[in-house]
Amino acid sequence: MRAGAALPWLLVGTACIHFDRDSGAPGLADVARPPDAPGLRLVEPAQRPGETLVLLTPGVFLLGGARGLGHDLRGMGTYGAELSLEWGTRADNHDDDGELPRRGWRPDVVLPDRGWGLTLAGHFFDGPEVGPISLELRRRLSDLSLIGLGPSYQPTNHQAGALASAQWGPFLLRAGYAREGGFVGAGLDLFYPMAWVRTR
Amino acid sequence: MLFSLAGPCTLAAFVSPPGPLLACLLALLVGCDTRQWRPTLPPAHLAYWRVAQPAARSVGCASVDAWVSKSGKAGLGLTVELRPREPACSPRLGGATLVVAGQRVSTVPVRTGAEHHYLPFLFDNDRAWRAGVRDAHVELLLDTGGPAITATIALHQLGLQPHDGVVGQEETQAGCARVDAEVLDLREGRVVLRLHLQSAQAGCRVRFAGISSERTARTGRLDVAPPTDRWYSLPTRWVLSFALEQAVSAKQPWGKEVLVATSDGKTHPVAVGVSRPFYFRLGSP
Repeated sequence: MRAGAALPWLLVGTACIHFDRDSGAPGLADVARPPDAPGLRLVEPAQRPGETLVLLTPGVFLLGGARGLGHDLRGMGTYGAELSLEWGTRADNHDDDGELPRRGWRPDVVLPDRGWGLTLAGHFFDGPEVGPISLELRRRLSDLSLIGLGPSYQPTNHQAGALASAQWGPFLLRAGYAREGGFVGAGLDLFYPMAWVRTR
Repeated sequence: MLFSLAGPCTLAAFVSPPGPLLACLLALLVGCDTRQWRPTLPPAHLAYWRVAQPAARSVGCASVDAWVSKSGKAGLGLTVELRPREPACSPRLGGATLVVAGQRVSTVPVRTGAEHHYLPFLFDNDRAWRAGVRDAHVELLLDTGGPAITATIALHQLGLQPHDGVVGQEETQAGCARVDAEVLDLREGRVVLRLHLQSAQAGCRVRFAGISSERTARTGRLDVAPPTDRWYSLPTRWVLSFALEQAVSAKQPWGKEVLVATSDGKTHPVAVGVSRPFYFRLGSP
């Protein structure tokens, strides 16, 4: 089987799962202070302690735009693959089918709402050229939005450059520049996060 | 969360021709399963201590009952209700000790009412939960006029959601005060709200002036509320409990107007509403 044909199945097989590293935890409650209504038989809901996450996220992207900026401007279509390693936090706590998380793998995705990560990406342009390869430092601004910046390398002409991305959900905006010109493109990024989740 | 199902959606897309990419994108944009999507959140599923068996019992000339009022990483708070069963009886709670994970945690009871005592037990409950500690008990030292009696209350820690109610409105302004609502309890026949009142202007004071709407089967009867003749400096919290005759659901939310009198001489109706979240899920009943 060609590597290209195997890629979707590899992604599906590993896609969108999370591992609960614990079985939940107690929440945040001011135990020292008496309840506001001492005669009412109820337990006051505790505040959510949040979660910490480590994510390994493979993804594929499709971009359309322009390349050769500053030199030989022309249309561009590219696709590529990327792999991100991220550490993040959530203010909220997820539940699994309406229950406290149980230690183990679950088929749902859990995303952080703040985080930092590194993304290694390779672009395959529509021509004979391949590249660039980039390594971005990414900052997650919300569960669905990310920005990134980092160095890039064009293996066909050994050009070093820089690359920046902004992402909201599956929508990706990316720009890169090297000495022989740059590119800018917009498109889709389909990501398949695997998260290791721990209750704070 | 719309994109939480990229995996299953992708799987569906790849096994259902034609156009796997188009199908996947469509599935992502529509959302195969948006169970994580909800406008406001009810309390999370977390670990809570509960009384393991009914705690009500007779001890000497008194009756004792207990329930967990607070539970969190820093420990647990138990409320003990102590009532005389005879006119001459005057029961007293002399002390209390929590026995958890082989550790004895003592506390000084805080009297919170004529018959209620609050027992805050401070210990590292986060560590206890993660170490698998699920059971504990409290020893109450009771004085009912005769020899001191020790009553034992068994506790159990488990994962639960205290209720699934959500408030229906954002923070609102009531003259010089800002009012935010929180659902403390929602069950068959009862809804309990806690209003957080904060000052929007210096020197602001507030008074609970009642509720504006007429009692109906939907709005229920006010059971617990702050006194209407007391002025409160801000910030403060009010707890209101309503007895309901109809269940609250996503399709049948519950609402009421709470009257807040402010020190500028005006009375402001503050709408409070409670609902249950609506979970949109394709393919499920």
